[in-house]
Amino acid sequence: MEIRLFQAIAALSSLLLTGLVLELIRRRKLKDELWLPWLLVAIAPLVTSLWIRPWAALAHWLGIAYEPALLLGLATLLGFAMLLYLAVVVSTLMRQNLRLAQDLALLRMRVENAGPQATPSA
Amino acid sequence: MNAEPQGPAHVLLVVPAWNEAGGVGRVVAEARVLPERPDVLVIDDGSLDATGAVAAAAGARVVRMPFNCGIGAAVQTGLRFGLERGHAVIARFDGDGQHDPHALAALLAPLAAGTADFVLGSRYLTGEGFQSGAARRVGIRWFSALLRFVCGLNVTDPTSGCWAANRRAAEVLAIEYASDYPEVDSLVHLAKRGCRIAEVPVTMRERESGRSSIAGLGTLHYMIKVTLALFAGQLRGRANRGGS
Repeated sequence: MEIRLFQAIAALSSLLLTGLVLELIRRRKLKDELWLPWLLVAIAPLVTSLWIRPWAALAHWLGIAYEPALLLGLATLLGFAMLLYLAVVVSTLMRQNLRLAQDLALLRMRVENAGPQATPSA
Repeated sequence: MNAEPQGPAHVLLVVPAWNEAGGVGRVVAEARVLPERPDVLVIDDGSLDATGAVAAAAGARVVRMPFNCGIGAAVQTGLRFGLERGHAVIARFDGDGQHDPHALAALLAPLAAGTADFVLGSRYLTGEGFQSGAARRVGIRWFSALLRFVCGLNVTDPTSGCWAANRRAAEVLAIEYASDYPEVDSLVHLAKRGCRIAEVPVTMRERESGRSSIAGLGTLHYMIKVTLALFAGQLRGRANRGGS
């Protein structure tokens, strides 16, 4: 199988990105729910750059004259999906954050009203 | 400010306040001498001035939010506090002095008569006192029309932050209350859950301190956000019915 320069660059970029994602997972910088989609995003260019023919065939079957447009379209859709997913995660965190802030405020008032004897000693 | 031996008062008056050191003291002082003798709870929503200290000096209980959470989250904190402590009625007045605490009696009457679960104070029923500017009145009319369309509710002042709720309505709002611009949205939640909503006339005063968040471009943001929230609430209502 002849590998052209752009394929080698895409594959190398994909490997580097996959390595970065794996390192972030190892350092626990990426949480469980988030690492799987990022790993897929990192590996996808490797697969698509090395096996061009199936993608080109699919593009033709879909009536797309310029084959790379299919990959670009899929990448855009994936990007939107990731952003939407992150927006859902952030919304959940915001809701939980407000709830915690309310709990903290109410508990702080109770502790202050109970007087110094309720404060745990160091 | 330790726990009172005779138990909680019938009414808890929740006063959300953010940088309202100039007006909150008078609100608390006026509320504490009302014939209804409400417990007054000021929610200091991350103020950078002496709002909490002024409110405490005037005799209120003060809950200090760890940071500015938004007026909805502040009011919801008050609702949770009131429900946990067993207050029969939870009322809300703003900390900027716009709401005359003497309106509390009018708000409580329909609750006492058992004809409503949530009573909204409207400055437009009689047209007396401070009336808002033209742009805001257009917005209020828009929201009134939307509420009529979305849930068949007839209210003249849907953005009013002057209200009283019995425990049934307070429980609905303690679960779901938008963190910013919550007033119109909350009416939809209440109506969807079968709470009876009434309106009584109240007189508004000009704010004594601070400035409204609904001004300039904020008005446009308010209109768009609340309108979308209304329709989102409608969709959620349908989804809940579908799921139940």
